[in-house]
Amino acid sequence: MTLRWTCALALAAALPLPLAAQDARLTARLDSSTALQVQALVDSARGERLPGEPLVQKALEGSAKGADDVRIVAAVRALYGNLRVARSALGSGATEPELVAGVATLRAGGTPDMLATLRRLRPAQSVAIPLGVLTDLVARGAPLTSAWRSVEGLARSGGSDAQFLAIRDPAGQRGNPAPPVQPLHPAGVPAAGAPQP
Amino acid sequence: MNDWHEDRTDPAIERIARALRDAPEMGRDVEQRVLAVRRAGGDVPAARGARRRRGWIGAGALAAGVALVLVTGRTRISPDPVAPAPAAAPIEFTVRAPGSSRVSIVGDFNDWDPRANPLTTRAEGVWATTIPLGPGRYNYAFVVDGVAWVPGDADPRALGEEFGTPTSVVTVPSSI
Repeated sequence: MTLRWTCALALAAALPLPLAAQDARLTARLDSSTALQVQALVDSARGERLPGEPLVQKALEGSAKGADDVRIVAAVRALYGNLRVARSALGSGATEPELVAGVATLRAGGTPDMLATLRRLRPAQSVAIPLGVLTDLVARGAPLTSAWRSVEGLARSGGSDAQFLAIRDPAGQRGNPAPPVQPLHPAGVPAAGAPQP
Repeated sequence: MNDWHEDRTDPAIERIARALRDAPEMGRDVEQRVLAVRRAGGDVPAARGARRRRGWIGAGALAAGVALVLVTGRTRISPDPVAPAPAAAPIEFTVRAPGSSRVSIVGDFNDWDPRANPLTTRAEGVWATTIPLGPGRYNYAFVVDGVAWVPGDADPRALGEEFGTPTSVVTVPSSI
């Protein structure tokens, strides 16, 4: 083996670390110290098999909105923590859309038990849409308890994604005001951990 | 903050390129003299010793590379798991912004880059654009005249906004 090939091999073995460790979007839009802190959080998340892209997007959002560095890092760190909570509730097989939707539900006041309950009710289907609908109903002013009863009831009856979306957008398209939330199964037994009405 | 999008050169790549640019050049006569000796079946003076030294250097370099990989336990930071890309659906975004000269949309789908997706006027004061999006949940907002952040009326607001400006959330189901 020639020196050239040996060195090339050694270089090839070592290079991917620095190349992959830097997300060019972060270094281009954040100052170097902030980019390093965010990158460390992204790497930690990926090391735990959590998605890193939502963290990158959160940092880019903060940068675009002119937030200061402390606020950006705090927001990314908080999101990282919520991703861990969501994954713990939804299970290790949770997909990125499910985790992102789970985080949004937690931020809307939902509990990890709600996430876990939906996972149990939909073991083979994604819970991203039900969680998203739950969050959106709350964002449009529905009380969390009522919104949860609607979503949980539909999940118990095996509702499809389209049916969940119909709770939120009864006319079948975006842009309609939120309907008054009615429990679909008022006599149903609340799931474990679900808030009592 | 840096002027983003102007220079996306990776520092690591730049270091490698600089090292390659700075590599000393050997004179053409050196190469020809070595080849002449080779053709004559001889050995370049001191070549054996040099080969031995180069072998040790090469082995050392290889060992260093392997050790680095072993110590860090990985050859690269794992990117997010790559799932098969689901089909993207065209999602229309509209906003009323009468009297404004430019409107763009920023969000999780375009790295929050105001230059990525400018809107066009479709009616009096109504700006719109259509963006293909795969299934998922995306935060977004409109930027009017480069300064005003406006949420989308067609979608719910994102809760717990950390940066002090309103953001909306669009949900794209797996089949529309």
